[in-house]
Amino acid sequence: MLDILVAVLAITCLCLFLKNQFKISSGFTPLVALSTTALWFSVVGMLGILWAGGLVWYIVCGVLGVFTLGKHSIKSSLANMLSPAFLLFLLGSILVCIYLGIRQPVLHEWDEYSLWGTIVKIMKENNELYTTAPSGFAWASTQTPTLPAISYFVQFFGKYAEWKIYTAYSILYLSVISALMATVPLRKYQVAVPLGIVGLLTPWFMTVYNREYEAKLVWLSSYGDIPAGMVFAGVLVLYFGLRTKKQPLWPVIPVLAALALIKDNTFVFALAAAGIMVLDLLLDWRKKKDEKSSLPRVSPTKKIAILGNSAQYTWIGRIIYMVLFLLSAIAPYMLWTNCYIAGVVAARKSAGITDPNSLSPFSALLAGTKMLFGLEEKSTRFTEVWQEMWKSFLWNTTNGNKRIGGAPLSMLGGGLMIVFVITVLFVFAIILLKNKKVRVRIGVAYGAMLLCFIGYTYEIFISYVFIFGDGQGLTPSYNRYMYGYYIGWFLLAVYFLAQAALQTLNPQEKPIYAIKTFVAQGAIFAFAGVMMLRTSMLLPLYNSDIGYTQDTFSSQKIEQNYADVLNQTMNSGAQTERIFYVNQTDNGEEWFLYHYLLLPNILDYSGIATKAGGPGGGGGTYTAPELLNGEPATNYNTYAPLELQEYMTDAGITYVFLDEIDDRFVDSYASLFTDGLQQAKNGATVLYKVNGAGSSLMLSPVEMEVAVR
Amino acid sequence: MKEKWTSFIKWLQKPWALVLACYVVVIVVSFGVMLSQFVADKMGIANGTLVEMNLTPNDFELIELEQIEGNLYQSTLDDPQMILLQVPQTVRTLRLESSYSSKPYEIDLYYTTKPGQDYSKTMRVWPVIQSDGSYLFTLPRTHIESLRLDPASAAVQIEFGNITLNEQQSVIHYFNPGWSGLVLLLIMPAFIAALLRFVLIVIQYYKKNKIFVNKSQTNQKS
Repeated sequence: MLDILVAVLAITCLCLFLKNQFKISSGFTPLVALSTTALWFSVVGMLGILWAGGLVWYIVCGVLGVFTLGKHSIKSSLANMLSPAFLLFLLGSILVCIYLGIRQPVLHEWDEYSLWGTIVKIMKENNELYTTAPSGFAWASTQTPTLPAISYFVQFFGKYAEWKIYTAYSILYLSVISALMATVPLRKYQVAVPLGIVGLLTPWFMTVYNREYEAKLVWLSSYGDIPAGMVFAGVLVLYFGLRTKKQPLWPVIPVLAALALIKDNTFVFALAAAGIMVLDLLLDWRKKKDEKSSLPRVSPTKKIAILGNSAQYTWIGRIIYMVLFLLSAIAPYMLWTNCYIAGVVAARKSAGITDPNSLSPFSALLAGTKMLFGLEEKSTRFTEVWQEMWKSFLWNTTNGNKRIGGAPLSMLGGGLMIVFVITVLFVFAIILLKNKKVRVRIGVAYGAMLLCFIGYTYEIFISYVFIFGDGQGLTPSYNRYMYGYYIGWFLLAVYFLAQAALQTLNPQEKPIYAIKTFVAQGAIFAFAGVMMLRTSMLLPLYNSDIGYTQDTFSSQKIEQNYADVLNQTMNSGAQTERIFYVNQTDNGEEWFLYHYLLLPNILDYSGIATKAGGPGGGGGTYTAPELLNGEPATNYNTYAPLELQEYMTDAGITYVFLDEIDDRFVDSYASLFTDGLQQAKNGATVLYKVNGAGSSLMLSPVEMEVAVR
Repeated sequence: MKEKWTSFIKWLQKPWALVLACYVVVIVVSFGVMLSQFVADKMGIANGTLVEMNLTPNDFELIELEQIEGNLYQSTLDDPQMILLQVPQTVRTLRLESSYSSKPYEIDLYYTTKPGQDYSKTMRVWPVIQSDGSYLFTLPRTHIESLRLDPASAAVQIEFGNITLNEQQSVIHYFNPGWSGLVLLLIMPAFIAALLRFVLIVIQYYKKNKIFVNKSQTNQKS
């Protein structure tokens, strides 16, 4: 827990520095600080100096904090930071850290073992970026680094723990909610509180659509979809907030870059955000005279920062910002994918490790667009996915009756309902704001978000048609891919409504303006109330991330204890063991689970992906070719005993883990085992040690002190 | 007295004072509610209206649930039900000890509050799984007419252990808000304070500037 509190302290120091030096609202600083941290850790990880670079970052944060407190005094610094937004971030982060440190939830969903949790554990165990650190499989190393970098950062000084990943994500969400509230001063907490509640409830509100009898964990998930949606919202409210407060726009750049590196399919979010900002900068919404006179007076030494501030009011400055925003959305992702990962993949190829091939996104886009415009005949999958996605968006089917609203996706309902509510919020904001030019900007932002939504949906459609296989269904994980965009769009709408609620009350103006401001404030209260009510109906606290019962993770903890026993039995302490995995009924899930649980020992891929005569994958189902007995070859990896001996020798296998064996395995390979697999059949052991090499390789049983699972 | 009240109202108008007052009031009220529930239950135990009862499956009317032998039962379809028509005067909790041959899916406890009332999805509670693996249902503090326990939502074998109504709870149980309660205690007072402040500001602005008064009325008055 202490390591996370140190991380929060480091971020706070950075926030203090950003506030004092660059006059950025304190509520914006956590998101900027976290994004910059993620980028720094990603870069030093790519350079191969992750741990040293991380230490430097902590030192820099500390020095900047001390420097700024020395220059501006503690009292004035704290007064500067005192806002509802920053208070929520700081207190929330500390409370989340304490709560999760006591409860210590663990990973529990499929992709957390196959990707999100595993890459963080790999980083922490090796103090090396997961792209190049030793692991049993290659494909996850292409994952973009923002989220694992933040997860690594918060536990830099401590031991690896799964709950610390959830803490990192929660701190990220709090930084976004802080940005949402950043334009609200302390004296207007009647706007800040319901706004904060809306922000806190959004991850549940936009992802839960029915009441489940088991605990439904949303904040406690390391998947990248919700963070992508939240940071998408964060960068947009940051941009519009900085413009509202007449503050420099450069803090948007690191947040855009970090957003682009959250997930491959949500790189589009960064493009959409950059496009919306470009469009907004094109709108001339302030008179030059007003702009210059309202800029704060500063000393020449702060020219660079202030130049950034005044630049947004000149055409040259706007063009520079437009280019910078587009570059920050595109360049990090392109550099990561086309330069860094290309190099990593090439290095793996030369080491004999192959990556799975799939159609390139551009080729898929081209093929899909040709079909869409009738230039090519539509495939069956194209037509089926098209119909399914329309159906999911427009209506749902209950008891055989079609109902408008879309297949359930959130507490508001389906896609169409969500878009409708978001539209209503935007319309409310436009009607209730008194400044006509701001109203135009909001209208343009809505139109741009709608256009980008159509584009994003098309991207997902193309992925379903050309990237996903037939065996994965028509629209797998549809909700997960869509709610990220809805989250960003929804929070932007709420932000604009909040701006209407923050309008200054001037008795000299027409009474209608005061009424509009009060109506906006009332609307935010009403919406917060509706969200609280709806959340209590569909996700009672006792079944959520807050009140889940201790037995929620009992099976996962049993698995971890079992893996710890295996590791303790194997570990000589002198080396990292490399384990060959056997489970004759596995479909791959158990392999991914044990690959994660047995780290830092490496669960080998346990097979050659391109080997002919089998499923072409790795671990764990095996048979000698002559014992297939007419079964489809796709069910088993067919290895003759000598082939298996040679594979284990070449791969450097030190142990074999027999998670589940059957008669076919015994008949195929008993000759390789010194006891003929007798002890494994009796349940006395699941581990066999490798002795010898090549055709002399034999496997001897390992005595296990604790009874086998 | 009037002066004290006026100065209290003035103090309350300070932004932080309203927040503090709301936190104090909510915490005191919450504690008061917990204390009243504790006292009410102790009095119920003392005067015999809150009685602990140990039940067996045969005390219930069983639907889609057949006894195999002893405490081992088989649900014949995926909606087994156990109906208890004779309940004590006061029913607070039901604790169910059970183990299953496979995943039971949803387990819930329906209740009625009036004679002849049908069981409905709006009047049911879900269990909280205890550290010993048993299921604890906590009912609303109202008159309970009858209960319907759905021990599973699948065709499974069920081995029943103790089924206990109104098991005596520890003192801590009454005063422990749990993690959910703590979060509510943190957020709700702030929400109430913000709402009160919003209403106060609207009233003050209206009084000062007459924003809802028709222009023609103000012209007539002047």
